[in-house]
Amino acid sequence: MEAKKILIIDDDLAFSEMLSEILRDEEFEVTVTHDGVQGLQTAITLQPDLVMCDVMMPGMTGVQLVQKLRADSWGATVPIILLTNMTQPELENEIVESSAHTECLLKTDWTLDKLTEKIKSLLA
Amino acid sequence: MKYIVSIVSVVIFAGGLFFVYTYYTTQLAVLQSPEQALPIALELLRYVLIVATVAAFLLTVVIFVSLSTRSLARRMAYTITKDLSFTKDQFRRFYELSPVPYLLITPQGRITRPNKASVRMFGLTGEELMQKNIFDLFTNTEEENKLMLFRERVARGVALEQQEVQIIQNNGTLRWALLSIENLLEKDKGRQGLVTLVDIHEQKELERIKTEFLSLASHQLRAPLANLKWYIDFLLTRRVNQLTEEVQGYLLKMYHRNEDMIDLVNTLLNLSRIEMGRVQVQKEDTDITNLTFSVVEELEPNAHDKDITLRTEVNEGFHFNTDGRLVRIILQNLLSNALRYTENGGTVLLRSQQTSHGIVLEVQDNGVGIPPEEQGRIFQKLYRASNAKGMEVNGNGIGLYMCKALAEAMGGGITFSSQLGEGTTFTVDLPA
Repeated sequence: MEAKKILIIDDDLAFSEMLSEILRDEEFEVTVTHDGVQGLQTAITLQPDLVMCDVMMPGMTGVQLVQKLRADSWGATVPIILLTNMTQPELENEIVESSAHTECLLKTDWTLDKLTEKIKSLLA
Repeated sequence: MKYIVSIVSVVIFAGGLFFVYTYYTTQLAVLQSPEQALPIALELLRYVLIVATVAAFLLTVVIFVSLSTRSLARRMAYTITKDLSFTKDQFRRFYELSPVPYLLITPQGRITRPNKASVRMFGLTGEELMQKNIFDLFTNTEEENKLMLFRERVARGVALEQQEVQIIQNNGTLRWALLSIENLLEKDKGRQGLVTLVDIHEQKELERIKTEFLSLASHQLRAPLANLKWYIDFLLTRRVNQLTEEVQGYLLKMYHRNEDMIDLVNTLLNLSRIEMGRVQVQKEDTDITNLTFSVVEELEPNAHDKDITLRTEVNEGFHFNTDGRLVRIILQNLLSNALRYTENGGTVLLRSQQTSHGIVLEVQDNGVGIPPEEQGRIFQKLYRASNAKGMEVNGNGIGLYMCKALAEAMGGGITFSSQLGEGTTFTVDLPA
């Protein structure tokens, strides 16, 4: 079976590197980009099975990226995990329109194991 | 009245004359000699004069009373008119010069009379305003439906109370205001609407700045803690098997201290939300059974460290319409408190029950208890009971204050019973 493709978009280099390493260990094919604009282009050309995206990024925020992806014919239904350091009330006003297939996870609430399980369940 | 008096006086005068005339003609008829006629004539004249005087007096009274009543009425009418015109003038000045923007509109929304403050607020002249429809002066980018609704309600004569709107000023800038429209009924002009606008732009700006600060602070404080958490997690759980037990022990300690820090940041953010009155209660169907078990699972390691038996009593598949996010925060706080203030080997019980009017959540421990003299103060912010301070455990005096505020925000409440040295039970009541 072909490995599932995951795109990580996060401006924190070390953090996204660690995350990609963990996911590669789980037999996923991982691509990493470090800013929103590049992330959006990569997503549309690569068409991954899942997008993991930070919220506060230079160039384009995660929320804007989700909205742009949702406007794209392919991106309308791709599962997106927004990894954030903000709690829901701060985010939800912006995210509300693009909520289908979008998970908003507060980083501090998740361990690596739980996150890996979540990704597997979304890709199952 | 005056007519009655006049008639009476005429009747007296005529009657008197008739009586005197018949009396003396009878007297004159039986007259013996012409010499006797003079005294009778004189007497006749005297009576005529008396009757005439009485009648004249009565008539004078009538005329006087009539005249004075008329002048009094005229005077009163004059005073009332003067007062009314004074009040009208005062009212007009009040309307014109009030610092609150007022506008009169037709039921269709056309502006008929703007006051000075409204002219200032919109940045248009009075004449320019009078050519506009009030509803065209509000922004309709996001609130088109809301404005349509307002228009319909005003056309039907339904009042509007304190609705938040953004007005478009002449230079294109937007300004927040509270819009109210009252109905006025005027004899000649039919129904009119009195529009009141209260400028709340500064408040809205402050609110926005606070919210922005809160999300920025929440992001900036959490970001490094989240990274630290995941790096330590990575070292402890992934591929790094060559760590000595000692190193693993330290890493675990780091992990737990970091978790404490994350809790503190979350608590502070929740607290500032409460203090800013920004706790939004969003009720939805919540699986209480799942929620209860997930909170217990989260805190199980703490119970395990102290060899405390953590028991749960909740029915299978128990659903309830509430804000699960807030209930979770309350349970986390009560449960971690119970674990903190219960000695090693103790028991903590979490019970969730449905009642006729809502839901009851209970956290019971057999811990140190709360001293009776301090029981009135434990929900105060930053207050920690003396026996709690004596114990070497983490505590910031915010947890119970927050639980109470959150329970109340959901329309419920929190109570407790405690025996020093025996244990404490906290009970949270939440309505449906």
